[in-house]
Amino acid sequence: MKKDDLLSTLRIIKNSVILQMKSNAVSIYFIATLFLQPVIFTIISVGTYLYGQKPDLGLFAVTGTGLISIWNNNLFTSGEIIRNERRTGTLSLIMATPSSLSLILLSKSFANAITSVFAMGVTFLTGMLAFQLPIGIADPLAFLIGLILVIVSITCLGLVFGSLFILTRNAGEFVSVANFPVYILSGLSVPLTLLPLWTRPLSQFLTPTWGNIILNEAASQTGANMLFNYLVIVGLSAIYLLIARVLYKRVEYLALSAGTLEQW
Amino acid sequence: MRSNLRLFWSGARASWSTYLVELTPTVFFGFRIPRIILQSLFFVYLAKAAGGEPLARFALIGNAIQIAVFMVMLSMEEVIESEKWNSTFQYLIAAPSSWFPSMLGKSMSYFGDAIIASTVSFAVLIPLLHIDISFVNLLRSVPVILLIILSASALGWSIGAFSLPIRYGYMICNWFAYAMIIFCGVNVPVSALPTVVQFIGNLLPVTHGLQAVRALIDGATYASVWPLIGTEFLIALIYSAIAWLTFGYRMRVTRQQGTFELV
Repeated sequence: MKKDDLLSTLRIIKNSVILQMKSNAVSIYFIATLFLQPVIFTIISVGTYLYGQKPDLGLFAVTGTGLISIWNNNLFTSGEIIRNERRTGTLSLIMATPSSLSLILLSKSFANAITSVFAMGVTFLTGMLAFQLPIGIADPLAFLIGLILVIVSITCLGLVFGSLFILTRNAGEFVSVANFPVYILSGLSVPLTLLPLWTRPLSQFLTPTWGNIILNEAASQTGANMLFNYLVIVGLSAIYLLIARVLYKRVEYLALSAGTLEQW
Repeated sequence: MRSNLRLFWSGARASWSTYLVELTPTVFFGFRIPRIILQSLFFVYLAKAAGGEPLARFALIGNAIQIAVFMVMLSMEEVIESEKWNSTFQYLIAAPSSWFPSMLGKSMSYFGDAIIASTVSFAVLIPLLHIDISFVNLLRSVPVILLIILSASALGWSIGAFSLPIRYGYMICNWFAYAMIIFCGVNVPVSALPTVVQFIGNLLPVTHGLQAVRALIDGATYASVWPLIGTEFLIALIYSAIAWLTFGYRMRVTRQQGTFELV
């Protein structure tokens, strides 16, 4: 890659991230999802565990709810990015410009993922304030590395969905359906042992599953080998990126050959 | 009377047409039904992990009804709010007829939608999770489930009427419906909640009705749960009155000030 190309790529990333963050900062919906959802879900999940006389699962419920919020924000906003571009009539224009739409999507999704980290803080705070849970992170460095990797990986997964959303106006409906299976299959607030055995391979392919394992192990310091889990997340991110690239190329081909995006 | 019936009928037809346009078979079977099942399933699994089979059973009954409450509340809020977005609010104001039969008609398909949601949840989750619930007792509780849907509708209308001048009514209703899982004793009994939460829960629809449904499913007689049903009915009436008065107030103020663009 030439130096000029690299600089223009970085400029596109920077501008897209800033634009999306500005957009989020004034979006009541985004802010409410960021701050309200973690509170409500933490109260439901931790409250249920406490009622069931299982306070030792409180931390598990809190980290699970944090990941639920990060995933929810990312998936929801991936759909919203495309929908907003479509509504404002800029989707076709962006696709026609030399700047890659996938790069813009990736940057905007990344901006959402960074912002959604607040949700993790809100869940921990809710757990502490509402239930006086003794929440402490035993290995903060491992937790931080895990959180960063999860955010990057969820962004890549969001890009897979983002590519598909270009070809549908039902992104909103899809998002509302895609949330709960991921919560269940990834064991977010719900132990994976409850699920039928045939679901295990599906769980292994989802980055929130591994993120949940890493964050829980870092929070309670079980002494497990974190490197393997980190590598799995990196590998999954690479696979997601590859799928997203193939999908995007296909979508771009369909759009360019049709000469319009209006038919989808 | 006849003109009111005609208004109701035309509203119901409009509601059904909108429903069919919005929910194509792909959306209905591909998105709506899976969402209904998966949302309930998540909260039931959570309860199962926390308290085993007894709490899972408790949560299944609660969530199979809560999903209907969730959907009907959002739909009713949307029925009110859509008058604003479709620019038909001013016609409602200007029309010499009462707005109520038409709005009630427009809500009809969403009542059906909520009943479908609850039915699907029970029908799928009971065999899937092998939860012991008597089919006969479940059928006996259907009138109370319908009452709960009605009282939740009244709350949805109220939120819609209150939030008419702002742009976030749907979002407010969405979070309110989720918060009702906590306040109304959907996953854990109301008696296990802090006193403040119990107090708020007792002022909301669903709380008393849900207790009555649980008792009926466990074999109680209607006579023994009559106070709970009566309270739920009273709450439904109060929220209906709030919705009626608030929407009427919004229309009156808008007419007086000529500010329907600001609604």
